[in-house]
Amino acid sequence: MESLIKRIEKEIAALEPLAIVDQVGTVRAVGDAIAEIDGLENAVLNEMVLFDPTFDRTLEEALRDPSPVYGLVLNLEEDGVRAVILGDTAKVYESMLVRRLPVTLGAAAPAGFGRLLSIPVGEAMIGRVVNTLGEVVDGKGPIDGTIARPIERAAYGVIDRAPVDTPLHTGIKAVDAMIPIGRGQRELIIGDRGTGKTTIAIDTILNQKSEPEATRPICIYVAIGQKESKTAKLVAELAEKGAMDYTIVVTAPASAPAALQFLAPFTGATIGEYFMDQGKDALVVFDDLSKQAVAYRQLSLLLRRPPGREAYPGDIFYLHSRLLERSAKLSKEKGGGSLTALPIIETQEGDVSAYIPTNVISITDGQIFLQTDLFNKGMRPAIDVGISVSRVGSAAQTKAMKKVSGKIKLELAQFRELEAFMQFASDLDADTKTQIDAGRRMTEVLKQRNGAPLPFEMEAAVMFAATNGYFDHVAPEAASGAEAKLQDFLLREGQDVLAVIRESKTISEEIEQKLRTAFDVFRARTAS
Amino acid sequence: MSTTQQLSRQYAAALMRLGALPGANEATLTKRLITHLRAKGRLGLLPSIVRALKKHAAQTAHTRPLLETARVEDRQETMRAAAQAGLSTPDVVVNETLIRGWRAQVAGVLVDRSAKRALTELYQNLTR
Repeated sequence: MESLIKRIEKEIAALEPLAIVDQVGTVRAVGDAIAEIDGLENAVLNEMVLFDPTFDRTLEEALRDPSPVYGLVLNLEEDGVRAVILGDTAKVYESMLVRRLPVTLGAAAPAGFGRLLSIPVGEAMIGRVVNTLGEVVDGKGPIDGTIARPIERAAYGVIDRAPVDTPLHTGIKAVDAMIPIGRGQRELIIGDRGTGKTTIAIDTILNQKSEPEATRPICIYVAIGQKESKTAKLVAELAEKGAMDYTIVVTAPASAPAALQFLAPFTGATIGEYFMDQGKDALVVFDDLSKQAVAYRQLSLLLRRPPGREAYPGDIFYLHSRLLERSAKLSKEKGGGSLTALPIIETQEGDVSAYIPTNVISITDGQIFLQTDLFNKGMRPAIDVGISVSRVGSAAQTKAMKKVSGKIKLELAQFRELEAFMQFASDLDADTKTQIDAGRRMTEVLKQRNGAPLPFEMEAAVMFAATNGYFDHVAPEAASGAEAKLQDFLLREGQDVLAVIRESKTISEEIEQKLRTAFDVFRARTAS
Repeated sequence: MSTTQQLSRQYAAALMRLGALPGANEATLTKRLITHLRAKGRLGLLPSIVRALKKHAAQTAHTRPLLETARVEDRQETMRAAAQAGLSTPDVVVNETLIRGWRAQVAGVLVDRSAKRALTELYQNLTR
């Protein structure tokens, strides 16, 4: 052992280390996860910096915990910069050395300083749970074979985009029939707490299992400011139902610093863009952007940026617009991939005219509005069809669904008017009663339990039955049960018809005839 | 920033500029400052002017050129190496924690040719 020590000491004595050149600054003050740094005159916005814990310590002290802490430069000031600390704040102290990071282009020599915040992305992330910085948090070992991508990136321009024309099936009848979502669209899910917003997003992810593998989108669920128990339960549900085979979860829990909560959606978008750039489809769920806005407000106030309305910074709109604009359907020349976004916003007391909700509504291509009243009445999913909309519309529907769902929204709107009128009228004519019963039946048919998304061919068949009077023989309150029986019937005796609809994505006259024949049998059985 | 703070910063900046001029006398500058503040009725700004000056001194302390070497016997060689690298510093400080080699910090640029840095990087690469 003695000779080993001597040998190593001899090696150290003979060491001729190469000189490295860094641009550095010094921490002037640190507090609330914000570091004020002197120097770094050439620092740029959103640049990563490294708080070096080894600079002014002995080697022995430095090796006890040499892991650096990273920061993100967010304020460039006259006499220094302010950076938000992206790691353990307790490790950063006054007079600590701060280094700019070199920009490396692959394996080449560093090409200057000013590395933007980047995360690792790659196929190997599928099935894993990572944090905002792309670090693994599921305890299943490191992720190999990834490349680094900056989390802030300009969205594709108009020329590089193609119209949204491919449906993204959520498996939720009410959505796919009346508020269809296309691949490349941004559809907002908005409602009060506990109205089923996350359920719609998760059911959409679960439903992608029924897509053929070649066209199945990679799903990314970004949990922002959520309870870790809730995220763990969600991951377990996705794993149990086989959805983790094509899903990546990014988590910035409520216990994470505000900076990580603010950046988490950008991480999700970056991962999604990686797959989109390869010509694949991706779906990213931001749950929820209200918490991201609050985190950004906290950071901005700590950075002494002037507060605006509701104390949000002046660029709160830009925060969401630049995030959501990264969703796109790319042209064939760019690979034809797509990134669909389902941002979630939580309202207070159903107020969709508040600041953040109106901002995001104006950015997205439609919204699914969930009402507490409907939820409490047992209408689940509690979608208010009247004010929910998809601006892409039927361009994002298969011909099969377009055929069967064309008039549903109008009929439901008429039903709602009649329902309100009914409270004041004592005697109703037969036609009005029929219309009201039809509306009630359709409302019951559109109910769906969570965690049970339907493949689109089943949706199309059920909606065909509903819109062609095949539930008229049951009482409106029993329509939901009859619909469940219809599904069982089709699974037992209608697989061939479902297969044809799945393949052709349309309801031709021949298929229509087969459906009518099958449903006549069903009606006869249930009527008896 | 309040008006008081702004004024204090401006007075401190003016003092520093005047103090940097060739032939400046600190005693004369201080006397003139007090006379001026008394005439303007701003003697109350004195404590905050002192705070502004101290803050500036603390900030500039970090930007002063600093050259460190690991061993006393390497001082001359370190100064030569630093000069060859284009780094001009008045003196060299002995910092044994560097183990071997030297490092220099001048105007926001750090040149580190120490064994401590090399060994730390080696350890980080091995344990990543």
